[in-house]
Amino acid sequence: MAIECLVLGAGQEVGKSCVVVSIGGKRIMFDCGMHMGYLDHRRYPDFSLISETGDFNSALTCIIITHFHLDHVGALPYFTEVRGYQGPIFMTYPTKAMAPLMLEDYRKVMVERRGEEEQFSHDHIVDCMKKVTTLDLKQTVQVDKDLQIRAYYAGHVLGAAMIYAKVGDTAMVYTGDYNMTPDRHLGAAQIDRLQLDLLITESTYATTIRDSKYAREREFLKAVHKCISGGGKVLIPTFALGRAQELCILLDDYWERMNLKIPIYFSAGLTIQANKYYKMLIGWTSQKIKDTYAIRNTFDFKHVCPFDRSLINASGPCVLFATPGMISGGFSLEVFKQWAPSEKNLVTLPGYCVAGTIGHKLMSGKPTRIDIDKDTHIDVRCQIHQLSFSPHTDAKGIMDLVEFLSPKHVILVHGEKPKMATLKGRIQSELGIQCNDPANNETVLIPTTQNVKINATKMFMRSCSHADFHSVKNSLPCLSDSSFGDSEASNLVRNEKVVEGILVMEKTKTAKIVCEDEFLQTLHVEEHKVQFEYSCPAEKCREQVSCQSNSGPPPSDGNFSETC
Amino acid sequence: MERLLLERLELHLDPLSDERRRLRALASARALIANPDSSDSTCSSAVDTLIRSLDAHPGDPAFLRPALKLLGEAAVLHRPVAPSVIAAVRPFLKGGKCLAADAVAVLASIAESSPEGGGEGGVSLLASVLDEHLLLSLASSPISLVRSRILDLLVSSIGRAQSSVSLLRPHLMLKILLGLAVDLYPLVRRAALDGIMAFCEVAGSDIDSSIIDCCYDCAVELFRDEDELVRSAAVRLVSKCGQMFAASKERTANTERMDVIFVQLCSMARDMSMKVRIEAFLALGKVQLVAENVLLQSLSKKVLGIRSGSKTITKCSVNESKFSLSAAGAFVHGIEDEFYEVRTIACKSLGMLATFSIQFADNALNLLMDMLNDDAEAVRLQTLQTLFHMATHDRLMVQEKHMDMFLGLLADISALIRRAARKVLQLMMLPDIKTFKFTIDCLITNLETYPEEEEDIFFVLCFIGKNHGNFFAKLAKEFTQEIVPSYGELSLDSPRVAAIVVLFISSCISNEHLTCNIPVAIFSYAVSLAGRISCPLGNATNRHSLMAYLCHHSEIPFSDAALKSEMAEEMCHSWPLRNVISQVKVKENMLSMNEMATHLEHSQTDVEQTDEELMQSIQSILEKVVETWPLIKSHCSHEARRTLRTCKEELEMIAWNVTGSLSALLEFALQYVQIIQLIAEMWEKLQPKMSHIVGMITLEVLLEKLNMALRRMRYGFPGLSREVECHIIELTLLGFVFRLCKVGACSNFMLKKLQAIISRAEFLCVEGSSKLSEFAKELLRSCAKGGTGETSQPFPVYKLLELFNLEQVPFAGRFRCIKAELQVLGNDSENPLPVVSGLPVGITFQITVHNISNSDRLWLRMAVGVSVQYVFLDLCQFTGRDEVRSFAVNTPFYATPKVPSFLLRACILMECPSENVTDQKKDQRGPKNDIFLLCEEIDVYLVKIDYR
Repeated sequence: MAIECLVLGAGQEVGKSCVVVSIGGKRIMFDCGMHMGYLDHRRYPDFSLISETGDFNSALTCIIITHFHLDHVGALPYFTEVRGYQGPIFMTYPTKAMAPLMLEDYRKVMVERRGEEEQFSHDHIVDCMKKVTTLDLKQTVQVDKDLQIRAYYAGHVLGAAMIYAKVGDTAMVYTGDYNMTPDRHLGAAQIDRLQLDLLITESTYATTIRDSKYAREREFLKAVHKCISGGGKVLIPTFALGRAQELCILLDDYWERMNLKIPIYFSAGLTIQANKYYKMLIGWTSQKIKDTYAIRNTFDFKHVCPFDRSLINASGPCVLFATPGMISGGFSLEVFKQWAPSEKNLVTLPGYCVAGTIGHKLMSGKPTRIDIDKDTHIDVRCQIHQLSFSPHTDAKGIMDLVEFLSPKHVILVHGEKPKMATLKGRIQSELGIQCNDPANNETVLIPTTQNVKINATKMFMRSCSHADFHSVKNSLPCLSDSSFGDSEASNLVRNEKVVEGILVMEKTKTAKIVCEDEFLQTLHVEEHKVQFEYSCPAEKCREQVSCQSNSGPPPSDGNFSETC
Repeated sequence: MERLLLERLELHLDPLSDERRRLRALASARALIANPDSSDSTCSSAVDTLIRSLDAHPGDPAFLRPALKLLGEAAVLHRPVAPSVIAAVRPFLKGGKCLAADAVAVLASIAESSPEGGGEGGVSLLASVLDEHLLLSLASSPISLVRSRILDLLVSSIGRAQSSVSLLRPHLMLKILLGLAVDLYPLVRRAALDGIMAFCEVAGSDIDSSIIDCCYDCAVELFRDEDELVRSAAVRLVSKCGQMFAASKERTANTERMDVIFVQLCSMARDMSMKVRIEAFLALGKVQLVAENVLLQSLSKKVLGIRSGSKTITKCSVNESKFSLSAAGAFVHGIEDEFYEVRTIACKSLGMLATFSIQFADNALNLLMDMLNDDAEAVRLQTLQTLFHMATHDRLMVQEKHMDMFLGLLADISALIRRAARKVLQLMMLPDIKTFKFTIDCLITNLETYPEEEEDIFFVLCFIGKNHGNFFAKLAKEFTQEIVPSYGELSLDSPRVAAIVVLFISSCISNEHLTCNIPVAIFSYAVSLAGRISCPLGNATNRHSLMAYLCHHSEIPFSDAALKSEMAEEMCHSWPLRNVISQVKVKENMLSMNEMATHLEHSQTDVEQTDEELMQSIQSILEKVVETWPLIKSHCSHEARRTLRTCKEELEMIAWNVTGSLSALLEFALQYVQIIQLIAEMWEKLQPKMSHIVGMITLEVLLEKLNMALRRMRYGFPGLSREVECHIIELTLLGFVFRLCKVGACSNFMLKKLQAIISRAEFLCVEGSSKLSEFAKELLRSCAKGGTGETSQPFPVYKLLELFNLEQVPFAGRFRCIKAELQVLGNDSENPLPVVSGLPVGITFQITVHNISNSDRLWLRMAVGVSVQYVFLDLCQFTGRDEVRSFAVNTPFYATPKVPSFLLRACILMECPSENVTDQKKDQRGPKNDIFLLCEEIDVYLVKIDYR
């Protein structure tokens, strides 16, 4: 039996994650994302590769979504409602809660702002979500008779999961995006030691090794503190979910400790809505938030005040979170226009900005003047701080996870081609594990080992489960305490247990291993005893005569039984 | 009663009786055995009966199992029956599944218990019964429960075996332990690892290195175990082996191995289980003799080149890189762990390792400085403690880039953190003059924000001034300009000026050559500040010499000229701080940061002498108290009460600076004065000319107060002499008489109580030398008269009162004082606890108890309005058997009222141990005996959750 792995998206690139894996006759689609960089047919995975006839229901056993980012869930309504997949879909509770928010937001931006043709409607999203079955962490779900799946905590964003799937003896893990170091609001990825044939892991930072997060936090706090103590305003453009919450926790905590009284604002909309979910889904956050939850919900930010548009031009320092993150338009652009001309103010930029956005322009060099269109331009005199918080694990984390799980085979997805190649080399040379980095629409075949199952009887298990110290004692009769401590001591640890049993193979039944004692019983045969007797001249010894006359076997060693 | 129970027991254990009866019989047997008042003969016959019954019910595990368990308990409680119990239990070792396990459990509990007052140890008792063959067959039993219990037995025998007695020869013991360490069951594996650990500990240094090798190999194999507890045990064992390798003779040969151990532990620090990570970081802190490059690797996630010293070419490079890879960044991961427990320990271990290498300390400092920004207070505090640890080992080399973060902590909201940060600052050597100036500015801002911490801040300024004389010299002029006003008046109230003056004085005292550069005016300013700065300057008692020094330099005429120069001289040469610091450095591993302050105090005062003085002054105050008696008696209560009030105030004054042994005496004296005050008040109320009805209610309250205070006196001071106890009893009797006065007659219950107290007084007088006073005798007589019949005959109350006379309290010997402190951290009227009304609310009390033994019965009383809830504090659960025990109790309060906010009054009570006469009317859930308060009642503020 082999595993067949068809990479429909995120092969040697970042975007539209989608991998279809066939194990033992089951076909699972992991993630169903869209590519944000394309507007043509390349936006979605090429679903026709799954089934030429378009009958996805028989071609796929189930779909599993790891988290709510659009490059992991974006194509799902399209696939289910437009392309007609009706089978089961699995995702975690938070993902199910947040995914419609993300999809709806995206749909609005596409249709209402850019005036594009609608790929899926609001109703499509709603209908699609109705088909979703929810998963909980470490809950094993029996999808059908043979397929088991289980979700593990992945960090990254609220509700992100790594998925373990098992068919028969073949098992694999698809990590989705994960983070091996905890941040302010999420814990680190956590998984059991599993016996795996295949691990499909993301490799966003295939070669980067990040320093401690403290340094990044310190830089950020220092910049913000400096700005507000100078009376300036801080604009933090963020994506609505995840990073905004983390930064806000960081600031709220710092405000608390340093006894600062300057207001922090959230621009209304998605962020506030998302915050409600965060408050409810405490079980999926980091240990610290879980611990303090009973006293105070961390997402009830103490220093966050309600925001009003008139406050943009109010005097005095403040901190403002605004969407979208790359200052590509909307409210963050509006505020940026107002605040950028003052050198007292500060604008933070997210770690990654798409080319063409103002965020990208600010990142590449320090422009003094930005043209928005031919009539408007902004003088940029404010300070700029680039954030380097990232919810993805670094190269060390990937190596750690691969080493911890020690699967037989690794496939890298969700990364940049040259870096993935480097990482692939390291995994093969340092860990000695087979590794692939397929491109989109490529198929990788992975051989798996075939195990033959045999049953064992209870008695046999017992005989395996304990060491018999008597045999040890007998084998080292000369070992006295005086000799204890020299080279003999090393024998003590050589504790090779030899277990003896008899393998019974019958035609129609599974092979079975039994104890010697039970053997006869299993075969329903009677025990035959063959006795040997010494015959000695009677006159030599009177005692033996009496012994023989009793017609019993001699008590010493004249008696043994043989089975047949 | 005992006899009756015993007979019934024998009857019910009869083989013919039914099952329920037999089980009930077991219950009564347990009662007989567990009761401390049962006689020895009863116990042994009960045990004998049980043993006989074992034979009578051979195939009945439902009966045999509890019976065996009971026998085990009996053998622990009554050591003399242990041999017969062991003999009775032995046949069961070969018995069926559960019975064998139970039998082993019995033996294990015997082995674990240590006999009271000498006698044969449990292990030696067992050694006579259990032979090696039997033990081996038990250890290879197919039943996992038997295996795990036999391990318990072996482990406790390892721990307790006297040198001569042991159950097994060491090699067999080790054989079993190592064998069971790879058992199928995690429980057994873990117990076996703990056993190996105990084995290594007992064997100590004379253990052979090849044996350590075995243990080590075994533990390392279990690093990849499935069970987290097994993995943690394996980590502990590896750590122990590491320590033993380091301590062994061939330590130089072991360096390579130590590196390997360090790397292995580093890889465990990335485990998925929090418990394992905690163990791993604890273990990392204890590793010694590790090569510097390996240490450094653990601080960097990037793999740092090839290890120096090893001549590697291509062949080893893969291994090398793998080696470095597992160590890489262990601490970086540790300090950003999700769990603050792990972060705290990682931080602590960093500090321990920093003492080995300067380079490591430098790199670690970068990480530590970042950790000051952690969101958990515990972690920030531990970081500061680690920094302090490094500073005392001269490993703290701060750079300018660090200071920003560090000084930020001075503004932290937690006072604990601020104080700890200042402690580190004291010992810090600042890198350059810019940082020096910045630090001073920060401290001054700090002083402005938190004026209440002035003393501590001045203290730090002193150290900084002293340690950085050269920086200061450069800036002296600038500072001078700042504080010497060009016009107008100098404001010494300004914190800034005061701080700079402190800086001047401190750097002058330690750097004599600076003195000439400093304007005389500054010394004269300092004179006016002397009171505030003398304490931080390190010398409360030596205030005069500071004064002299300042006057000397400021050229102000000083009263005693001869003394002046001498003292000033002395001051410069032996500045006490210097000594303290060096002492602190020497004893660093014993001293934590907080102890430094107390250390200073101790070196300042001549403890012995002051003790004597204080004792005398307390005595004289008590004499004064006794002198008020005639006044009270003659109803000049006004004057008497005034005197008493002054006495109390004086005592309170003394109490300000008393610590240690005298505090008990002081506490006693305070209580005593309060009692006399109460008596005086009551005496006044009882004047015959006044109407009884007027004072009725208050009298009741006063009486209750008096009784409470007297109980506290009697039971709250263990170690009181007989004479003092007699004295207190007499006062108690007086209290009774007052009560009689009020009621005019007495109930049966009160009479019983009275008799109990009088008989105690009689007993004390028979034993001791003192005699019963006339008052007590008379009371005894009237009691005897009235006690037999009805209460119709009134007590001659006024006659009794006339007879009473207060005498001087005869103090002798040392006694202790039982007291408690109760606190709810972070709760005040501004920060109330949230409550959902109608649901229980959990409140965490911080409790400190002094001189409490485990047999004392303490209660926590929580009251809201009329609803009172008692919580029993089981002292056995709280660690430590020292004089002072501190612990936190999280307890629910159930009856939350349906109001927006309310006040909960909590206090700690102690039950009087020996008063047998109890009042049955009391609430059954609370304490059954009389009680007294161990601390003042505290208020806990609670508010309904929406109203916050």
